[in-house]
Amino acid sequence: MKGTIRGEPPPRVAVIQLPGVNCEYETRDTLERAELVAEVFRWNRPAAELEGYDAYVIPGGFAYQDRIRAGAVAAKIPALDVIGRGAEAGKPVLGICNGAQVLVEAGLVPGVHPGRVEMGLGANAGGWSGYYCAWVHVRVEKEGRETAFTSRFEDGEILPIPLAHAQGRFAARDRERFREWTEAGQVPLRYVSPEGDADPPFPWNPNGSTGAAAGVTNPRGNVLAFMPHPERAARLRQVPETVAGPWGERRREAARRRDLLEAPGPGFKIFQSLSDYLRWGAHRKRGGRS
Amino acid sequence: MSDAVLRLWLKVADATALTARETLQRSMGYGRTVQDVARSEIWAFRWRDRSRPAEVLERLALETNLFHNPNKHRYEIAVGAEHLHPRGNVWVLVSVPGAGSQMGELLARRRLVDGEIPRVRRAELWELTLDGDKAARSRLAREIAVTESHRKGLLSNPHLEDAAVLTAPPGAEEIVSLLAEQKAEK
Repeated sequence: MKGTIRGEPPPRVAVIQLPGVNCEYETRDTLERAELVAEVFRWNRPAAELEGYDAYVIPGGFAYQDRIRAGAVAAKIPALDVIGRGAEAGKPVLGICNGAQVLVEAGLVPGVHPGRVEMGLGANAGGWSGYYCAWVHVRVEKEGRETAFTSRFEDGEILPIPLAHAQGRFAARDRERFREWTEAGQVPLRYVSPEGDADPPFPWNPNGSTGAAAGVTNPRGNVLAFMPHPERAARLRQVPETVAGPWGERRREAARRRDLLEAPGPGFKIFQSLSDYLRWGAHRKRGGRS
Repeated sequence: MSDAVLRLWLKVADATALTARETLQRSMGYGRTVQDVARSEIWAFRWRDRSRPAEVLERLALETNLFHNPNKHRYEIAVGAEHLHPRGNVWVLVSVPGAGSQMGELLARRRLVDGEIPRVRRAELWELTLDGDKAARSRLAREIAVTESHRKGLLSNPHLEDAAVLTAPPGAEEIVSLLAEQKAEK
């Protein structure tokens, strides 16, 4: 049985199955491993049924075949109205890759004025154009605040993580606004080199993202648009042996000790942090703003 | 200046245009005012001085596989003040700044154009059939063209793309000039 406090039912998470997403089942399984009750929720069910969930995850893929623009059509469906209201009420919302594009197009991220579209996720640039699939390194930069998705990480921790997208470049018409969001701690996950160099060139910043942003939150920290795929780095066996740094060392060690392969991988802490947030509001205890 | 435009559209139903229409009508509440949505691809060419640019584009369309696939596309060419013949009664030109700009060099490298290398830009032309008089259609098209919020706008994201609303079928010079006026890359 999944752990609860004070006998409360375990938190329920809806993984939104938009037409064209392709990561919903591994995302659900990873949430379940983090001791959450996760359910794949088809987009054409009555949207009001979403109100019964404690958190929402929009997984990766190609919702509506990326027609018009990645995330643009999905952002208009009734489910996003409910998710938006939930976000305003403090429910956590995680958008992974295509899910991040949906959250940006729905105006939930950066969410300074909820519902207003304040940025975009543009075509990859800065060394590569078109679809790009690779393992990169992301650093957790807390700027003195916690989010619903980062409480399990140490500030400055670097995690190797895979990504696969063609439109992952966070961009805002007004770059000054982007700097303000960064200073406000709304960019807690940024691409770095394996050695931790900030604002790295391609391939470490794989898409030319402004401020090397890999993940952007709303001001409250309960909504995260994250372009890499943490569910594809949730087990140690998913980490390539060639990855640099301690995670690569662990993975190479596990090649000789197969019992270690199912141990948590670098992306799992995002789901564990979400689990903590939902169970105990851990980020609040640790000094978060919300 | 010698301006010319190649417009391409699908022979079969355009799933993206149909999805845009459904989204506008069913998800965004434009059921009564948005009657139809179509879409075409625009390639805009500008030379400082080029004789018979239409012949160049005709050859590029027919003899290369860079723009036109005869199995799936139809096309038309307009030169100078000539206007295109898109469907609809109001049009939205959406472009990513700089899109298509490498095509001129590519054409030169492949020796597909001789002499001056053209300045090339790519864009998307949304062909809207809207209810109402010209002013109402123009107002509605502006509302649809630029995504300002979760509720308003669909066809472009202003942080990534430029959008221009056209109330008459656009001419080649007009399209080429609009794409030349694009802001610095977003």
